[in-house]
Formats: sequence, structure tokens, C-alpha cells
Amino acid sequence: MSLLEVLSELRAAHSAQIAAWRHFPERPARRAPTPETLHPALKDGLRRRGIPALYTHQAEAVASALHGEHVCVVTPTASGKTMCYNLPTLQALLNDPAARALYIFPTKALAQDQVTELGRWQTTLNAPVAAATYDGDTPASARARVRKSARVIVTNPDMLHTGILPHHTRWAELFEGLRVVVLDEMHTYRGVFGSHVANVLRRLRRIAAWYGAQPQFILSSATIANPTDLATRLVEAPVTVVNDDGAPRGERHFILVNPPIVDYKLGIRRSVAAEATTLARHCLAGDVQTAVFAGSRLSAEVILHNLQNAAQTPVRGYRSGYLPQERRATEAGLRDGSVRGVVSTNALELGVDIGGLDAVIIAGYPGTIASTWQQAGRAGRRGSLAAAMLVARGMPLDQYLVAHPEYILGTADGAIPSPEHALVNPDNALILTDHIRCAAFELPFAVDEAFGASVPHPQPLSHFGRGEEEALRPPIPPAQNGRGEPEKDSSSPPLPVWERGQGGEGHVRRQLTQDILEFLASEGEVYRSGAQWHWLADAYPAEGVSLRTAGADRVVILNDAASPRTIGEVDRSSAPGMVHAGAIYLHDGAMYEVERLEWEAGRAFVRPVSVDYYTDAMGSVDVEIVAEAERRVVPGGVIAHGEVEVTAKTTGYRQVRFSTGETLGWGEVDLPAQTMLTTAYWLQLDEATINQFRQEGWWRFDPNDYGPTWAAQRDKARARDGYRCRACGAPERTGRGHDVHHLQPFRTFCYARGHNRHDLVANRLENLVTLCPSCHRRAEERQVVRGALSGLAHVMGNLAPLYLMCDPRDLGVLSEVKAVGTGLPTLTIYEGIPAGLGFAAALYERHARLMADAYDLIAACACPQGCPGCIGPTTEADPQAKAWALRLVSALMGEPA
Amino acid sequence: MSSEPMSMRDRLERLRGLGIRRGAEVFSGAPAQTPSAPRSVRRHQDISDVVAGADIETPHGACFAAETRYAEHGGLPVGMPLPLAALLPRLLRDEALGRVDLRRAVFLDVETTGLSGGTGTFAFLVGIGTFEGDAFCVRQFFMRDPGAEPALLHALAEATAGYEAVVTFNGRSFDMPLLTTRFRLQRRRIPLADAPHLDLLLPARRLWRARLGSCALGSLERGILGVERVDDVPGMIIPYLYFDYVRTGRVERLERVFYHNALDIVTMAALLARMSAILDDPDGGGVIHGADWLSLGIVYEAVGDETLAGQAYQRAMATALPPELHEQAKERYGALCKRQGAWDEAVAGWAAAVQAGTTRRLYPYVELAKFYEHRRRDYPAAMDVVRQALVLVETSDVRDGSLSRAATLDALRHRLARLERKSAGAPS
Repeated sequence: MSLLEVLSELRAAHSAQIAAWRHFPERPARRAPTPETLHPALKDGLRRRGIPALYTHQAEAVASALHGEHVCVVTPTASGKTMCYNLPTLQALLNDPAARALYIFPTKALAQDQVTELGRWQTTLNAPVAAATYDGDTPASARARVRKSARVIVTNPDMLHTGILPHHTRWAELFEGLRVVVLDEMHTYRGVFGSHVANVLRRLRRIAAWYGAQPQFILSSATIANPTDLATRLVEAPVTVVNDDGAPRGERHFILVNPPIVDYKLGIRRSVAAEATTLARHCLAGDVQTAVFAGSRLSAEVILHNLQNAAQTPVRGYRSGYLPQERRATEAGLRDGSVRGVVSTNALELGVDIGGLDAVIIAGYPGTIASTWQQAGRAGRRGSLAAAMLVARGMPLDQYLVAHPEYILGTADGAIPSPEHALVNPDNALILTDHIRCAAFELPFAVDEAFGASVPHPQPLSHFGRGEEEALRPPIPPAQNGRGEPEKDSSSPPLPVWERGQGGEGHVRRQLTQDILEFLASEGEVYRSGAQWHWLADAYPAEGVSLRTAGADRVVILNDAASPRTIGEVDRSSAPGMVHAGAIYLHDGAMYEVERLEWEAGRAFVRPVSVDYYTDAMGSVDVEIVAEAERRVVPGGVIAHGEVEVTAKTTGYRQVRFSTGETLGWGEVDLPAQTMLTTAYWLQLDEATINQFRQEGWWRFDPNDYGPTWAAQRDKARARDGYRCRACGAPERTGRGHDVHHLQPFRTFCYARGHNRHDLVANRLENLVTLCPSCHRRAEERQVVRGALSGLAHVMGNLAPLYLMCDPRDLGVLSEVKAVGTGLPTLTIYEGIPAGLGFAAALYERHARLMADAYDLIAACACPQGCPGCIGPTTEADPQAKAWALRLVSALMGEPA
Repeated sequence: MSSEPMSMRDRLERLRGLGIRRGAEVFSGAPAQTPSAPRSVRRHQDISDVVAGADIETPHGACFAAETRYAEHGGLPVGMPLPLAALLPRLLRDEALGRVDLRRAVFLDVETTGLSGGTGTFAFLVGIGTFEGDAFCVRQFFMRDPGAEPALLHALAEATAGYEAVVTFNGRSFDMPLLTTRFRLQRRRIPLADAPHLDLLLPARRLWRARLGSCALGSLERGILGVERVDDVPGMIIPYLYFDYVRTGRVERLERVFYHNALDIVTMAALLARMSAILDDPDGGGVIHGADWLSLGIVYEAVGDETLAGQAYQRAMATALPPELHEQAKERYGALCKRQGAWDEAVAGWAAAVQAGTTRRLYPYVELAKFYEHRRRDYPAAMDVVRQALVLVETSDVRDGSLSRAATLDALRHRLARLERKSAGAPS
């Protein structure tokens, strides 16, 4: 059976589940002549390698790079990005025997492929352009040879950070000759990691400058909304973005699949694993070579198990835990077609060469649109049909995306404008301080030196459907001449990267740098002598700075086998919520359960498990505004962002089923409260709006008078329930009795003291249930006012990652009916990372869009009264909660009742 | 966020508020650092108040330098160098060392701000020792503060100009790479970069590990030279003494750091003299301990002189060595005989060890069993030895090399089973 037949069968059999179906017709290649400025040997090499002409984007990128510009290529998977940076690099190496280049890849697999490709060029050119990897796997005996003889060093950010920069004198040849730095998969350098990498690049440029080199940067990225902005922040100089993809595309179908609702009232859908299995079975039955991408290792195993039981064709698994030989065998089998099906985690997403498959099934939104397309891009060969299917989970973001397919599939005109902004904040105080320490270790700081440059514009968020911020792209003066050599006497350098001038931005940066050095001096790490700060401590700072976390105070995660092995670490501030005893910790696609957390020692012991739930920590959060940076009046109230102090105490957690979001169980946690300075964006409703809601008759928030018999009834209910929580079974703890909750809300009985005795009806034991404080809070949250506010908070917290490319856990959401201080209903989204990364400011910018999207999400959800896919889980739904949440958002969008 | 410059006070508060906690570890012996305004502490003393020396002027500023002359160390004369033992270049596989005239060599040792390497670790005190006239002269160059590094390196380059070789202890992996980095950071080339470099660590290990176990310079000094230092500072705390001095101006304890550094250098000279004596003239007073014969045997083996090696092992076994070393000499001698095909000699040694039953090692049993099985084809004899070995392993903690108890037993049982098969199949 052909793929086309499989697809038409699918369309017929599963039409109810198909949320969107887009057909992308075959698109021929657009080619352009090889740039005039390309070295004759390279032109000849292209011919001899059977490449008569470059694609348009390759020609443009190569020409810009040869012109000396920093270039960022933003095109899809398999569009020939490698050529865009290899040609200018090879040209630099051919022109100057002393020239060197540095290639930085996020993973080792990608690095290995590059060395192979450069090796082919070395053969073609018969010139000394040797490339070698330098990473944790490079044997000690080979390292000296790599340093001496390789002209292209292929490495990763972590190795650059701990292994190369702090030992730069050993790499003098590399730095003296450094002409080109290639940064591939730029979109992965975002959030905490990206903010660290931006600082590693600052250190790289600082060291290169000391050796007299000013390298040119060539970057490549998957499609994101703000490539210019991100590239500019990483390079700290103007960057030319090339995004006119001229590579050919085969014909392709992209289908968004929403599993059917199995429990209409609770809004629970059929699981993603089951749906993906069905789809994969269809494909495999038609002998369509298929890859299934699962969101977690567990999910991958479940699908693999299902398929191996059902399908006649052999199906392989592929993830990080498998042996290298197994993986190589699977890769080879996929390439030669002998393996017909594979189930993988995102391990197959980047780099690994498996050729083009017929179909890709993505089981659950992978978290970013960029990843979605990278996974989808695994299907497709020239001249043949390919299909990609995304199966949505019951979660709000997945549901939002199937309701708004244009986010993934693009608009009718064929454009696929991403809403995803990759944000970095290299000046996050914690991260910046750590890298100034590393930089001071590498070279003394001058007392008038500024570390890094400030990119003057705020990180703007373009509107969906609009192109990249044009204003950010300043005119580019040619910094280098056509042969890729630095211009000796360029009178006006592009952006003053190492500003030492007086006044203005340079002054602020210098002040910032010097203040931090002063701080480090007071802490006994650097020492000022004359006009220089010297590192003066018996320590190797790069060792203690992980590029994956912010802040020095960490909790290490140890696999509690016979010999404990570190598998990861988290910031101490996030530890209570992420690695409390009983928490499920996901790492590299594998699941672990935390057995115990040694708080003082900063160690969490975990063991591998295989369960179908994750844990969601609960507790009290208190946010105090420290400094407001900006505020503005919006419909319904005021929004602002700024610095806040978050005090969080984790008191318990719930176990949540992956596929559906239902709560499976509860647990308690006893850990000290954590305070953290970070940034937040908040929305405060104004009095007029609240009054409006009151007049509409639904906004009531007055403490209840439960009538004279309440105390006695409450005790009876507790005794009846055995002093245990009826929801989770937790017994009462000494000194703190459980709460008693009205099943049908008390206020609906319209009790009025002295006028009626409706309280007697409301307080009947049948209407009462004993709940522990955690469960009670959840039950109460579903009541009217809280329900509307927290429902909106739930939606906003789940939508935000769509614009910010962050993990939902990077953000905290708080809804308060009466905020301390103002007494006004307030909704706060704060960043989970000390000092913040700019997410708060970005959301502030995007407030109107966020409201509109929140409205769309709630309105489009098919559930009657709220469900895990929109305003949150409701087991005892207030029948009006969803309607009121919608009313609240519409008021915030400026619409009258 | 606002781009108004924050006051520094605010900024520091903010950094502390973010939970940034830093600070060099404070070791127990040093006074705690006072983090507040260290530079405001007035220096009451200068290094010249506690160490005899004077400033050298360089184009990069002044560098403090001290000089001490030694005629003897631990009772050994060190004023005149012995010629470098002819075996050393062969042992180290470095022919260039054969041309070294120790009168033209610099003995070098550095005191640094740490051991972690990388560009942030520097040498605040560099000592060099040279033979001058009838004395061994140690000159030390010191940085009054980290900014004085260009002056120190300049002074060091001047002082080493005209010398042709360098002698260190572990300088191949530590002192020289570190100085190479420091000179490179001053955009200079390290002096003596391509000169012959004699790192005493390797020959010291060859010669004395058998006897001393540890081959740290301090252990060698005590064990080989018999020197006990007076009120020395442990190397580990030296960086912290310097940090404390830089930040507070307290110089007193630096005097002991100079002492430590100078003694390390003189010890190198004395150790080299002992090495040369043992290697060049073992019978003429070089060998002062039976274990030296064992070490010499190892050295001879390493340079391929098996006859001398065999003689050395025999002489070692003839002295009253501690049992461990005696066993080692026997094992090595046996292995040497086996390699040379001197089976009678080898077997006699193994058999004696097995017969005496006092050996705590398994190799004589294994070697003997192999000999009976593969050379003699005397399977019953081989089985007998293997059975004895099994008893030994089962009743003691003796193991075969690095194998576990279970693996050792497995290997022996496997051998026994094979012997039984062979024995059954062989004509009786």
C-alpha cells in the first residue's frame, strides 16, 4: 500500500479526530550562481562534488559571510545549512595558513557528523583543513595533537567553558588564528542555557581579542520568531539573517490529530500513546516506514510495546539509554530501509543521520514549534510523498495548538510565522557574576573594562503573523574585506562590543562590571592591584558553574544505586518543588522517583521508575513587589512587571496522570520556605471592573457565616470520616484538624442570619466532607471568584511557553482574590529562576495577545464546565466557572458585558 | 527593566539578596579573612622585614629577591655537583640529558596560588638553585602583589639567562607548564623552553618507591637524606598564607614559605647527588640500603641490562630486607630468569617459596604450576601446586594480582580441571 492510500484510509476512518490537515505541494529547488567572491578551489570543489549551483539561501549566506558580515541562517531541517558555514570557513583557511575556526554544536552526535563532512572537503580540496572534535570523549593522549594540528576545532559550549577558555594559553594557535566561529542550532541557546552560552561567547571574544583576533560568527537556527534578536544577543554585533529557503521540498501532508474525548464531563481524552499506536499501526500495515516520537522515555516504551505486540513488521526502540551499537544498527537499518518502524524520544531529533522516512508521528506536542518541525522534518525524501502527524494531549497548550493549527502549519498564504521567541538574559545577575568570575580567572580585568555589550533594544515580541523586527537590523558596515580577513584600519567598527568610552551605555556596562568585581573582591576571589583585577583564589571557577542552571547553590541528584552517580542538578530554589521525596524527576527521557532529599547536604537520591504520572508540587506562595519597572493601564485594570521577592513553601504534591492530567494521589512535603528575588509580571483588576462584576451578580467574596450549628456539624463530619481526608486519605496531624467542605457551596443556600435557617439544610452531614488543607484548597479554588481568576491563571501559565520557548516549570503562577497591600484581585506570573531571564517583561509586552489567546483557548474548548485542557481540572465543577472565566477575560480585553 | 545605574551598594545588596555566596575556603591554620575593605589595612611590615633580601629593579617595576647559599644538606655536601649518572639519560630515554653540565643547570621550584591549573593560577614565589663557586646558591623571586608578575618574570628570565638545563621535581607536569602559561600571558617566551629538562620525580620513583612507598619530595627528604625540617609549612596551606598576606599585609608566616621553597630546591640537589652515587658507583658507597639493590635491579631492567639486573636482585636478596621487599626481589628475579630461559634458577626460587609456605603471594604457585604443566608436562606435580594454591587462597586473603577472591579461585579451579583432563588423557 502506498502512503497516499494509507492517508486516504486514515482520512476516512478517523475524520472525527483530525483537527487540521494541510497539504504542502512539492517545491522545486531555487538555485543561484555561486558567489563571485568564492575561492576558485572551492568553486572547483563544488563542481567535483557534483554540486553545480547553490540554493538561494546558501548563495546569499556565503556571499554575506565572504563580505565579512556575521550571518545567521534560519531555514528548516535538511536545507543544506552546513554548506552556508563550511564554504566561508574553508575559504578563510585556504587564504591564510594560520587561520583557525571553532565550531560549536549543542550535542556530540552533531559534532561528529561535521568532522566527517569537513574530512570530505579535505579530500576534495587536498589542502590542510583538518578538523577534529574536542570534547569530553577526546582521549587525553589525543588532545595535544588536536590543539596543534586541527584547523577546525569542533566542540560544545560546556567544553569551551570548562576545558578550553580557562586554558587558553595552550590554545594560543587557535585564538591567534581564530577567523570564524560557527554556532549551530542557535535556537537551543535560550533560557538559562542560552544566557550562559551568551556569556561563554563574551569570554571567547575577550580572549580572542587578547590574542588579536576578532572572529566572524556564522550561526544557524531552526525557525523562531526572533532570530535577529537572539543572534544579536549572542554575537553582540549586527547580524545578517538569511531565511529565504531555496532548498527543494518533497510533497508533504501535515495532520493534527486530537484524540477523542472519552469522559465528556471531566474532559478526559483518549491517551496520546493509544492514539499514536493506532496511527503507527495503520502506517506499518501499509509498509510505510514510520518514526514515532514520544515525549518521555516511558511513553516511548508503552508505544513500542503496543506496536511490537500488534505489528507484523519489526519495530525498534531508540533512546539515550540504549547501547551505542544498538543505536548505530537502528540508524543503519532506517537508512537502508530494513527497519520499517522506530519509536524514539527526542534523541533522534537532532543531527543523527537516518535518511528520510515516509511518515513521522509525534505523540504529544514536544514543547516547542521548532522541535515539532525538526521531528516532522525526519519524514521526506526528494521526489516522494511524506506525512507528519502531531497527536495532541489533553493539556491546554496541545489543545490550543490543535484549535489554532496556523501556529504550526502556517497561514493560508503558506507562510509559517513562528510565535516562538527564544529569550536570553546574559545580564542576569547570577549568571553574569559567575561568568565574570570565570573571565577574571582567564585574564585579569582592567579597572575600566566592561564585560560584554548591551544590546540596546528590549527583546521585542513581534505579533503573530508579522515578520522579524526590522528595526533591530541596523545597517551593516563591512567589518572585514571579501577574503575573510579582518580589515586592519576600519575606522568605525560595527557595534562597540568592548566599549570603554565615557558616558552612555558603555558607562553603565563598565559600572556594572566593576561593581561585580568589587563584590567579588569583598568575597575574597579577586584582588585589585594597580589598574587590574587579578583572580586570587585557590579555585577553578568554571568547574563550579554549570551552564544548565542558574546560581551556585545547587542540589545534586544522585541515582541511588550501589554506587551513587550524579545524574543532574537543580537550583536550590527549585529543589523543594522538583526533587522533594516522592517527586517524579524526568531526566534525559528517563523517569526517576526521588527517594529522599537531604536538604542541608544538598543531595537528592533517586531511583529509576516506570510510572505513568508526574508530580506537581503544591504549597503556598507569597509574592512581594520589590521594585516596579513599568506599569500601564489596560482594560479592566493595570499591568506591571518588575522585581519581586517570592517566598514559596512546598507543603505537598499531587500525582498527575501524563495522558489525561487527572489527579491520581497526594503526598505531603516538609521543607523550609524558600525566598528568591526574581522578576514577575502581574495584572491587577481595578475597582470599577470589580464593581461591574458585582453588578453582574457573580462576583461575591465575603466570608461566610455558616450559622450557629456549624462547629458541631463540622466535628460530626470529621468523626464520621475517621479524621481522614476523603479525597486523599491523609490522616489529621496533631494540632491541625482537617477542614470540612460543603459539597454544594454554602452560599447557594442563601442563608441569612436572623431571617431563615437555610444553614441547617446546607450543613446537613450529607453535604459535608472532610478534606485536608491541600485538597481543600483545590476544592475551594473551583469556587466562583477563585475559579475564574485561577482558571485564567492556569490558562496563561500554560500558554506562556508558546511565546517564550520555556518549560512550563520555568514559570510560577499565583492568583490572589485580595492581594496583600492593595486588597485587589491580582494575577501574577513570576520566573522560577533567580533574577529572571526576561520572561516577565516579555509577557508584559504581550499582555493583549495573551488575553486574546486565553479567550480563544477557553472559548474553543468543547468541555461544558472547564477541564484539564482549559481552565484546569474540575472534579466538582462550579457549573459557571468556565463562563465566568470567559467573562473575566473578555473584560480584560475591553469588551463590555 | 530600568537602565538607571544602580548604586554600588544597591548592587551588592542585590547580589547578596540573590544568594550569591562566595569566598575562598579558609583553612583552619590561617586567620579568618576580613572581607570588608581589605585594602584599607595599612601594611606595617614589608617582606624584607622577615626575609633577608633586596629589590631588583626591572623595566616593569621592582621584584623582591632573596639569596641563600648552602654547602651541605642533611650531612651531604651540596656545594659541588657530581657528574650526572650515565644511566639517567638512558633511564629517562632523553639523550639530551647526557650533555648536561650541572654547573650550567638551574634547579627550579615554584610556590603557587593553587594546584588547579589554568590561567588563573600563578606562581608568587619562584626559587632557582645553581652551583656557584663552592656553594649551592638558591635565589628566590617574590611578588609583593599579583600586579608584580611582569617584574618577577623579567627578573627570573634575567637570572636564568646563560644556563642550559633545568632540573625540577614534578616540573614536567606542574612547574614548567605553569611558567609557560605565565610567560605567555606576559607575551614572552619562557626561558629554557627547549633546554634539556631533568624531572627527578621519575627516577626517584624508580629508585625509592620500593623502599619508601611515597615519593613525595618531603618523604624522600626524610627517608633518603634524613633531614627533618624545622617548623615547615604544609604545601597545602601555602596559597592561603599568600592570600592572607596580600589582603592584610601580614608577612610573618611568609618567612616559612621562603624556607619551604629553598629547602625543596636544596633537597633536589642533594637527591640528585644520591641518585648519581647509586647509579654510577653502587659499590663505592652509593648503595646505603639493601633496598637500593632491588631498585637498581629495576633500573637495570628498565634500561635493558639484564645481567646487571640479575646480579642486583641477587645482592638484594642477600641482604636483610623487610619481607615484602624480599618477596619483591625474588619475584622479579624469578621473572627475569624465566625470561632469560634460566628455568632451573627460576624454578628453584618458586619452589623454595612454595615449599617454605611463608609467601603471601600467589605468583610462585602459578608460575610453578605453569612450569610443570607446559614445560615438564608433569600434570600431577602441577595439580599438587594448584591444590596448595587453592588452600592458600581459601584460608587467607591472598589473591592473584588485582583479581577478586572469587575470580582467583575460579582461575585456579579452571586450571585444575584442565590439568585433570590432561592427566586423565595422558599415558600414565
